[in-house]
Amino acid sequence: MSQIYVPGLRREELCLVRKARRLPVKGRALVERGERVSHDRVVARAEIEGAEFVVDVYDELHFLMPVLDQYIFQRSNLLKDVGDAVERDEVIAERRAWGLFRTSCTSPVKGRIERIDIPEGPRPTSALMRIRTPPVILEVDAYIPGVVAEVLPGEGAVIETAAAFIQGTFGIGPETSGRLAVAPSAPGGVLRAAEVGEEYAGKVVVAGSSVELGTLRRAVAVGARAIVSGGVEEGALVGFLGERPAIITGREEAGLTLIATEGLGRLAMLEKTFRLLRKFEGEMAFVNGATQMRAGVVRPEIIVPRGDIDVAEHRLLRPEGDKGLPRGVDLGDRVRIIREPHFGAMGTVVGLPQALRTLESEVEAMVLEVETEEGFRLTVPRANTEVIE
Amino acid sequence: MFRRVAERFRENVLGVGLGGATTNVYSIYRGKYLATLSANLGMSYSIYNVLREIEAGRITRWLPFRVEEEALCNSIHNKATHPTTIPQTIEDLLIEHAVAREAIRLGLQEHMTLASPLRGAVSETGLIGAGFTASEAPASYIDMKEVDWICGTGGLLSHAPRRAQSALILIDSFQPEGVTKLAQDSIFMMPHLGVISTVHPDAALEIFERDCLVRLGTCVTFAGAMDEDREAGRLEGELPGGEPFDADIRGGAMMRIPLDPGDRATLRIEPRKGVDVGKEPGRRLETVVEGGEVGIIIDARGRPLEPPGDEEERIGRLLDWLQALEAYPRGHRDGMRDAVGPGGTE
Repeated sequence: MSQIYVPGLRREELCLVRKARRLPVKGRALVERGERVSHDRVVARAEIEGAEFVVDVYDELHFLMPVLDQYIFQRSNLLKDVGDAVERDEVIAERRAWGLFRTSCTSPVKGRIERIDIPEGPRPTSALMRIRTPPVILEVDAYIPGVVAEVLPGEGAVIETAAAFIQGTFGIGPETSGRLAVAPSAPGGVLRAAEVGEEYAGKVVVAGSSVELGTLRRAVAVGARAIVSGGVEEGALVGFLGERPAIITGREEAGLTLIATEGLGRLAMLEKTFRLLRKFEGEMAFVNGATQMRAGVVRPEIIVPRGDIDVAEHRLLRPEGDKGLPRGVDLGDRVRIIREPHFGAMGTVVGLPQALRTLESEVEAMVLEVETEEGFRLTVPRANTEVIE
Repeated sequence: MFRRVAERFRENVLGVGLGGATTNVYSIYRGKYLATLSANLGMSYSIYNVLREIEAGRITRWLPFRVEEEALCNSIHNKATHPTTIPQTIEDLLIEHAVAREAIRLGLQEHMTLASPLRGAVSETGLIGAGFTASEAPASYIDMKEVDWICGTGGLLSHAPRRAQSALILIDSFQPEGVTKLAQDSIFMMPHLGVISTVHPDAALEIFERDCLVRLGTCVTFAGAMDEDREAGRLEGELPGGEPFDADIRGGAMMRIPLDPGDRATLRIEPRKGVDVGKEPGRRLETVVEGGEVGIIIDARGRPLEPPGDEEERIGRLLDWLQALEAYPRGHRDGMRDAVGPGGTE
């Protein structure tokens, strides 16, 4: 039997979540293998050397006529020495003539004097001060609480935890965390702005089939960390971000992470997804809106660590990235339709015709027959379905 | 491969590779080869990027049915997040084809910017571009009336259910002028043949001509500002075997004359004053055209081509054009007229 592998999004009540936490540049891992870490524990750090700024002190102080004594540069003109810290616009050298005129030279940056270059001799004709800005510190945290499974020397560490793991279809916004709170309108209704109160401050809010622009703005105002919704209208997303979202997301600074579990539009959250989120209401959830469809697929995620599972049992769990061996869709499989005209419909596979079928659009495709939850029998292209795993 | 086509026929060629992630436009014009890559415009992974470049109205202007902008944008974004899905309905297919027109148009726009004379270069009449600001940069050296071939490749064009669909997409996005032959890749094998041609040029060209190149036909354009429903000109000619035909061409209309691949027909076109069919406005043209899977396409919609802004009028016009080319199966949903073309499924 010919088969098409139709991958689905992961929705697991319990699996082994492994997160490789890497620095973007070489640095130092700060944790040990087997160590238990909290989500905010810094697991690796790198220092990027600051930039060097060269100040031509001689020129700045206008030593143009080295004839009179007042115009001869002397080391005493320098007010700072090697190793001294300086602030931006702080005077680092000056010249006084007959006690009346004063010319000064300031530092263009905050930093530390790294070197002073003055030629040997009684009448130097140049003086350069080299100032190094403070190093840039890059840190990467654990993101999820768990155990250090592996140390990546110079890069970071792999953190493992037993958790419920749910992938969304599309998201925006960076990694964040908060306790799960299920809104009354979930899973089928639209979460309105008026329903978003102060009680959602610091929370990951589970909404229904969609959220409005006002809801997103209100969520930011009350300090909610994230919203997980079945869908969201593109217009609301554009209004919220001020532009159309990019194809690779996760770096938006909109003050909120948003995950659409099903896609764009008004789409009720898949029952299994909602059931899982409701089950863990009140628990800490770690979410990331990053989505990427090209050059390696990245889907937004919701991770709820399972404090009730012993670390030793981790090894027996299926990793979250492991979907098992690819298999074709089979009779009896639960599928979701992911394209119009039945986008979002759920059903059971009741037929797998072998021959190509001509669709209404006249496109020829392999199809499957689905009996929906409402009892309708639909014929849809296999490529337009995803298996609910 | 486009280059090989130009070398083989010694003619000017414009080509497009409309992929899932990128859009490449090629021109081989008077022996000068230029390729440009629009790395963010495509029909699956990058389909939403097309929408990021333009207003949604640029896409709806190609749709012969009413659609809410929100629903259209949602649908295009969902295609990007599920890039391997395929259009099941006619409306969905038409939306993809509308986006394709805009992706090619944007790619062509970029190409034309680069296909321009070097500023500061010395020509016979003086310094090219001297004293021009960026907005007054010299126009492209590509004259659409001089383009002999327009070719398309890529999954969407190759897998379009009807050849008339890809012909129409190429015409709407390139907006050829004069007499232009249209061709497309049969099953999206052109990129592979291009690689083979670097080691076995003759074999690649043979496969290309026999199995890859699908001749869609010839487009005869009535260019210029067109008065809708007023006569744009008159057409006379002989089909193979000497069978005569003639027609009055209405401004704003399209017409298809079936002519099989390999067949030729003689055309005598008498445009009305101000209308250009390839020589100069109002001047008569006599030519021999080649057939193809679609045949001879008479395009009297004028140039530049812009579907009507009024929704009702736009839907009517688009349905007329699609029907003239029998481009799509019967539609049976809200806002679409019952008959778009024959042979549709119910």
